[in-house]
Amino acid sequence: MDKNRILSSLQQERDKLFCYACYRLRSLEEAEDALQDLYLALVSKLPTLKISNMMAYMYRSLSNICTSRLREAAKLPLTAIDGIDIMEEPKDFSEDATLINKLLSVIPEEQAEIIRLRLHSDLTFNDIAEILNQPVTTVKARYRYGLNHIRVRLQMLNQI
Amino acid sequence: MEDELKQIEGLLTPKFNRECPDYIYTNHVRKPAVSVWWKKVVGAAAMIAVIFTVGFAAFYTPAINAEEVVKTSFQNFVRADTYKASFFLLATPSGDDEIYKIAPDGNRVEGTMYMKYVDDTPMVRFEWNDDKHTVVIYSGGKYLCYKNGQLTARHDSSPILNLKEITNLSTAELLADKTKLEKSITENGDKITLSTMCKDIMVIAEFSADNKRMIKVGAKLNDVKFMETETIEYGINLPDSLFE
Repeated sequence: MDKNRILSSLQQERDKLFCYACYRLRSLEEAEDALQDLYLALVSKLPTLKISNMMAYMYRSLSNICTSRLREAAKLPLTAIDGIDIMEEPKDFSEDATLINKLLSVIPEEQAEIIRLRLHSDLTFNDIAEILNQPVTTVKARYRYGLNHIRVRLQMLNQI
Repeated sequence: MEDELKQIEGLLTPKFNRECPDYIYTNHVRKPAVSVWWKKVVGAAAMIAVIFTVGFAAFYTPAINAEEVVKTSFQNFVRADTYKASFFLLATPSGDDEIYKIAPDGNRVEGTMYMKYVDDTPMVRFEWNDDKHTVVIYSGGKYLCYKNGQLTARHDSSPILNLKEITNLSTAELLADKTKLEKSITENGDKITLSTMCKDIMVIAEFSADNKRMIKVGAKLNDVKFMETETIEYGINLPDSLFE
């Protein structure tokens, strides 16, 4: 695979990839490093890369990079949803990322990942299905289950 | 129920979406592996404060005559209440509040730091000599950012440049580890040079024996000088408006 194709795919998706990494890692700086790691990983594997769907490969790689960065930094998932107040608008990126991660912590990871790809990277369900190698109907169902679980939890907390 | 699901979607949708910086994908070299400590202070503003503090704090274990000069210099620094330092550093742009992050493989950036204590609260202003004339202010827990004279960001912020915290970090985490601390002091006329190796970083501070002031401080990582002051002025008049 030639370098120009990799660069062009990265350029096309860069803002979506960046947003995904920012909110997953809860840090702009970590997100920048994660994207740089992704680029270097792609370039270094260039001679042996045989990819049919470049976009799916990029998102899967970035997801793995984020997971290992979170593990290395021993960054614990945010789970204390009880004190949450959804009426209070987040004032900055940090508050927004914290709120989103707390809400996503109450649902299974496979549902959270679909919600991230849909809302943070603005991908279609078809794209997400290709990235996760799942049927589109499963992706749509899991997305809705995820939202519904969060809705029920917030109802229990009298937030909606 | 559909309305509530829409509301949940709204909550989960990023509200502070930022564009990916242009410089990503242009550097083909992986950044050198760095310690956790380095990552903590890799923001340019915090790193500069640490370098200043380590330069001074090195007096904790001095072994030769220059001890008194260095010690007095530190006391003078604390009493100065205000100071202004112009410096250069090697850095890359960052999407975080500090605008730049230290990077030995980055570009040269010049700037000026102003610091003033009001009731023990540090007020810090960084003026970057970049094309947007970026100014960053940490003032009593408030963060402000100006570009081309226009306020572009303002929010609450914990004072990252709290000298007490930085001193604690430097002394407890760095200097306490004597096995990693190597120090040498050389005297040349009026000038006393003190080099302190703290973990990965060599901090080199120059003191004037005559007026008992630190006159220069710089830092190296793997033999690359990534920050050095050009001038340091103490006790100058800094109006409060500089930090608003």
